[in-house]
Amino acid sequence: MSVRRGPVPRPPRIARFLVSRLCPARHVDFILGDLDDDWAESVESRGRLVARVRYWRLAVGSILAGRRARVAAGGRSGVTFEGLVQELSHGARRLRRQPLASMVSVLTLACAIGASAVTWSLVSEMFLHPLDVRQPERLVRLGFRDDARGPRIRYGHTYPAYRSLRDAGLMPVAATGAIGARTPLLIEGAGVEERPRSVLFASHDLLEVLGLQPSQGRFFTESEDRRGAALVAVLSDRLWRGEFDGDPGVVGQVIRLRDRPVAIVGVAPEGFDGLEVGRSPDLFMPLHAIDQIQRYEGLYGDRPPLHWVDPVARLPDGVTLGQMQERLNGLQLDPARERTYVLVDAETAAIRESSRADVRQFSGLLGATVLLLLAIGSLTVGMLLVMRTEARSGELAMCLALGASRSRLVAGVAVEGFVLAAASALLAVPVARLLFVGLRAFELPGGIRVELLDLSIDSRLLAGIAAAAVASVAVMAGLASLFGVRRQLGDVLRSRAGATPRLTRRRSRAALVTGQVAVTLVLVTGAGLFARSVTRALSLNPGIDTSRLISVSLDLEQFGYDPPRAATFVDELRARLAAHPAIASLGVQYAGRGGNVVVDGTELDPPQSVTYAAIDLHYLDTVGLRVPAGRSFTADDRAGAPPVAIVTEALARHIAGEDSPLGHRIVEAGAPLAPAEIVGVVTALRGVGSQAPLKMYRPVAQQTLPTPPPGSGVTVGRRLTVRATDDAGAAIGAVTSTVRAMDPTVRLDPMSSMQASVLDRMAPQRFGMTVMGALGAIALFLSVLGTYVLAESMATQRQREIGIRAALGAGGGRLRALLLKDTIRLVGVGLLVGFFLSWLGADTIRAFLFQVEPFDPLVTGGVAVTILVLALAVSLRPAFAATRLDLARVLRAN
Amino acid sequence: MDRYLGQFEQLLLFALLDSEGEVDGASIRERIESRTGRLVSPGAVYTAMDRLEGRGFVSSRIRTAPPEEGGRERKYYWLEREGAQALEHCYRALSRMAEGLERRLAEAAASESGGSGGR
Repeated sequence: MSVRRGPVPRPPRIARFLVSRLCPARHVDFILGDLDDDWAESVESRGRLVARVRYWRLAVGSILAGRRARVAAGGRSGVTFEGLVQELSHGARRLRRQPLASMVSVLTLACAIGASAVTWSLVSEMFLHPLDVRQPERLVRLGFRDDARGPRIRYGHTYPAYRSLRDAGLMPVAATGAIGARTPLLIEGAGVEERPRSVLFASHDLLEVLGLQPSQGRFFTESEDRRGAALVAVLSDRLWRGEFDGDPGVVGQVIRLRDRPVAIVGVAPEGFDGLEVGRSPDLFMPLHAIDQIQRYEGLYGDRPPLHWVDPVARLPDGVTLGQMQERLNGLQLDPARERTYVLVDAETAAIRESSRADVRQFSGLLGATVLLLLAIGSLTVGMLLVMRTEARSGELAMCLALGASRSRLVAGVAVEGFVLAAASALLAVPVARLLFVGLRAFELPGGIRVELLDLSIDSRLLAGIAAAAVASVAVMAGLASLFGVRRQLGDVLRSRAGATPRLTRRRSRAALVTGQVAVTLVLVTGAGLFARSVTRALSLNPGIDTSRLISVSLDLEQFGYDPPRAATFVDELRARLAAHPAIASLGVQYAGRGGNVVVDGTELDPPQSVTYAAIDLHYLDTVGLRVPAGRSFTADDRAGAPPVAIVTEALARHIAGEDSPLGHRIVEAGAPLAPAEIVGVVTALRGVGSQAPLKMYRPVAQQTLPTPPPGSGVTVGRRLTVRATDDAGAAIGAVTSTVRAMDPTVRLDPMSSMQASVLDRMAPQRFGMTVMGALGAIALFLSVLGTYVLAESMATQRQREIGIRAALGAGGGRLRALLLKDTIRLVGVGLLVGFFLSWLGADTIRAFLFQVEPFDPLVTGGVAVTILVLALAVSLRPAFAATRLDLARVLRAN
Repeated sequence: MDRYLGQFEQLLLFALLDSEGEVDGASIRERIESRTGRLVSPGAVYTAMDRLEGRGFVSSRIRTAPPEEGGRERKYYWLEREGAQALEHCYRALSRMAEGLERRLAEAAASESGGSGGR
């Protein structure tokens, strides 16, 4: 996310940091002051990008000038710039001699660095800097605790409560409001693509309180933020750029929202995405315009109480959150309710408390995955360096013997590592870009859509990349000094004379391969567990083809229909759709509120509330629900006939245990309805994350659900369920066009097949599956490659021993088994370490698994066996090659 | 006293000469950039000025700039007589060397081979 707050963006931080550390102390303040002045002017006159390049040039020039002065003055210069350049080009040249290995290392490390930078950016956007407003730390939101509903802080207040807070005059208070998580609306006209948009209703002073300015036009005036005023809207920057091509002439244009003209008066500032992470609105409308868009009684009054307003306030200078909280405690905001009001800083509140733990845990999982990838990258580079130093071992040992310092040689190896890291860091930028694009499709826990996060390549990200590169250089230099430059001249000479080299040499490489195997196991197992969760979720309803099932709310009352007109509309829609070739069958369900039920005069005590629903005769068949006991509804179950009900299997067990519930009489607790006889038991449609649903159905013909008063805004919960003949898309098209042909003012919510919604629900799992799967595949490839290289080098090193064994009469099979045993031991240790790592991470991943345990024997065992088999398969070739050699020649050569 | 000045040092002293009274590092850079098109880093200005100050050619003091200039502490420089003399000496030497050669220089620079003869 780039910096956009305030008049001047912050200058490049890394360059600033380098200047502060590397320029002479007596000049630092002046240099930084000059640089910052220059930056402010350049941004204004030349634009951000040019200003940034200029800043860096000036900063590097300043650092080099200081260094030159020091060298000229005869000061200790340590490593000279020229010397460093020379070392680097030597390193690059040495690496060019092993192009394939170097390329694999660079690619792996680039993926690792790119992924860590992206993860960092994601975490930073969600937790560290979620809000792009002036002084976000001074911004607070009003939450409340309802002791009856648990300790969690909740948001959403009645309009009168917001007014009381505002009128108390403690601090500047603005408000946003919405009904439901999002208010999807269709925008028509002005050449804008017609699709659902989310609207955030906001008081006219919202931007003022946030310390922001619209980028085009203006925000609402107080007179526009009144009930009944002509509708106006401010576009989000995203919508403006995406749909209006960033045209400044958009101000003054008129769009249509639900058939009402809305004048565009401005564009919100770039980077401002509302007050909740990952739920950025498409457009802003005045708080008091809501009753023209959504008809609900109780929007502004207290009956029925509607908690739709979310006040946001700015602490006055010098007042702490604690002090303001104390003042707030003395206020009675909502006399009707027992609530403890709590001020929460806006950055914390940006992620809802209900999903914060999930998001945190998921970020942790992502972080751990990326760390593993970084480990794989470092191990691969380490492997390359060890191979390089091994190849140069003679040369290095000679240098040592001739008096070269060990640190000088280690520095040489470290420079090679640095060249690799630098190349990887460069490559990491396009990798990160690709990852950004790939990530956009996903949704994080808590419904946070990645595409709505303001992710981009910026200075923070580059800092992340640089930090990751430096970290890997440190790891590699460590590896190099550990393994590379400690060999004694005696060892080299011994091995040249044909003696078996000491075991430590192989052990260092073996340790690297073991590490790779362990990381591979963890990643591939993780991907497997996620994949299994997704398949489990998709097969929740055996026997029901969810890919052809579509369900959509048919909330006609919202469009001004009274009950008789709505009934006529539904009948006609049913007749028209039944004749449509894309639709196999359809049913209508009225799902009311849930509650308790009374069976044979006794109130039941179910663990969860029972959902009441009224259905037509076709509903059960359309969905594909079976009736294992009793019967389905028939045409005889009409008004006036004895009331009947059908219950789900789970509810049946609560009513009658293992016995049949048929014949018992059931009624919704507290409803003025006659008890109905249970005539059937039905299987239930299961959703992700819900228990077996407790549900009772009544026939809609018996008019059992209370009809809400017209205009009350209370939904009757009418849903149309459609089974497509073949393609869900065609059926969705048929429903949309038929409804539009019957009444163009009725707009349906976006539709998707039930399978698609399950996949949506499982977005975090699919995300985990994709990320871990991709990384796991890379890890698997690298560890198999590593095993092969090691097996080959072990076979070569043991040629002499094998030759002697063969001469003494050992058979080929026995010798091959001897070599393969090494591989098995190596991979076995790697797998054990991997199991241990998986055990450590089990709790983190468990939260995201669906009907799968972190130690699923099928997944964990399958992955372990696959790794072992692949490792053995690639080790076969060197083993066969070693045992096929001509014995006499081997012995002679040795 | 050694009165030789490098090209960059000459530019700095000319920039000081261009202003009446004291002038701060940022203004010096600005003047050089606007007149020569050369991007000068602040670090280069301050280190070169240190050198010139050590040779007695310029003097400096630190004071807080007026609020309209940002209000922060800045280092202000002014040209000393020795500095002016050294600059004059260098400039005269260069002018004398260039005397009567301007046309040939222009021709040589414009000629396609870029040189005046074989090496």
